[in-house]
Amino acid sequence: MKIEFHILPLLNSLNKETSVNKLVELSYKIAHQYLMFNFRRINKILKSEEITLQELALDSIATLFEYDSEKQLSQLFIAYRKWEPPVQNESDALKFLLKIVHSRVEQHISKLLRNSDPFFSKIMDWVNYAIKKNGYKKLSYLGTVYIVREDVTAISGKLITENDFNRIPLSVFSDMKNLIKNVLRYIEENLDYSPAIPLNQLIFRLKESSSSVFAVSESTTEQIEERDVESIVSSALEATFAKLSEYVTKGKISENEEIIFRKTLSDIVFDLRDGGMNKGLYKYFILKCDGLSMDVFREKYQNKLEYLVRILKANIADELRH
Amino acid sequence: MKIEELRLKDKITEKDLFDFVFFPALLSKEKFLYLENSNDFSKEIEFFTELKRSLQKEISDEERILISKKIPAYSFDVSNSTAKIIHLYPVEVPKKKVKGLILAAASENNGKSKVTSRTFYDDNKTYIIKVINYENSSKIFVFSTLDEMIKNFDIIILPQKLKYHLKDNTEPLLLDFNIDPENIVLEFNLIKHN
Repeated sequence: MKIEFHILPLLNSLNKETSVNKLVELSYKIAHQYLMFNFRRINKILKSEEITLQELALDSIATLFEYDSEKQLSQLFIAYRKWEPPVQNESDALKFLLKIVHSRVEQHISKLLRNSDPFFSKIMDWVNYAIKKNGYKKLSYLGTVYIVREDVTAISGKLITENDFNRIPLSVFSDMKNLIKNVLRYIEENLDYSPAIPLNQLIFRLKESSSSVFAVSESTTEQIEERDVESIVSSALEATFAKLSEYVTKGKISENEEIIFRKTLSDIVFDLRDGGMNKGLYKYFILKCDGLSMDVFREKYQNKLEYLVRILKANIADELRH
Repeated sequence: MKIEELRLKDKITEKDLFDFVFFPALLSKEKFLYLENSNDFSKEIEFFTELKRSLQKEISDEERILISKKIPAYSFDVSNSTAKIIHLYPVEVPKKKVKGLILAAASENNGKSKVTSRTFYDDNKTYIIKVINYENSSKIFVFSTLDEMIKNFDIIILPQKLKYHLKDNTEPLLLDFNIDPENIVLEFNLIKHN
């Protein structure tokens, strides 16, 4: 099967509309196939954001094709010009496009996970700090970001599967000061895989291990934090309920509606703590308000609930910072 | 042999897997044979194989429309989309029942040229074609029931497969003979009125 497209001439003529069109289509296909391949991982995002896989693929690559003030596709153009080693043939050109699209998709997924889940965001910050501090770095392999030792220039060999990573005993993740070292050693010595840790999966495992990450040194202050997830969540929820009560005082919602909002927010916070929101706001709301139509939800409650969820996430983020 | 295999497995990089699927000639014979005969990297090879298949697949007009909504740099002119093919079939109008006898002098054709018309609809009644046959000529009018001007389209008269191209539907197609189509096909692109 011979490939019937030529990417190098397209990259060399980014000023032509036909080239841009073709590159957008190719990038879309790359992003779409990548998301399909990782469907299990992103399914929750699709549900919580209420978007399709196609939309997620396009949202991920959109910034690559934004024009700057000089009518140039700045991001793609700069990346292409600065790519090392320089793109010289069709094989390099395809590799370049794959790398850049995959990395955009991963960045977008991380952004959505960070926005939808303050715990994910907090743990991600901590892991990034631990990577820098302890002499490791991040490299991508088939689009997925892995943590490797600093002297590794390219990942080779067989990498750990999602299932096997999820089977690593929780005890391996318990010593937060030596976390990366311990996990890499376990993968290398106990399993027949190359020493590389999938970053996002690591964060999910740390989240699963509940309060441990919040009981380690704060990345900036090095002070010990002993707060557990439960207290963080309940403080954030109480602060959000206080805002909700203002709605009742101001006559924006009835007391019965306040109860529905409270129950909905409690469900949402439960899911945030337990892996992130897994459905759209309407679906959360209707569980507490049986028979409510989508139209009425949009008209009366959607804006208020969106606002309250934003407040709730901000409150959790605040609690995590304190 | 086992040790050699293990060593080779540890040496396989993402680039090797990429080359194996996209540019096998660039891969060393040793690695190529290993990847061809081993299942160690089957999932990774499947990833690139699927990617290759996906890159070669045409995307749909619906996807193109979605892309143009999300990415302003992408220009997708609906009028350049894959030609739409619409089949239109005759509407059979019941003939008027005439009560009583009609005298020859009062008959419709008396002293006038014979003019007949037939109407064709598509299944959705979105497009209407009116065929009017005069004595030795015919006119074919094309209408859209939507607010659309039809541009750059072909009319195909079946079963004769007579094909005519029209720039738009503001004027009828004029033919210097009569036609009696069984059905008509339109192949066209649409441009919405602003």
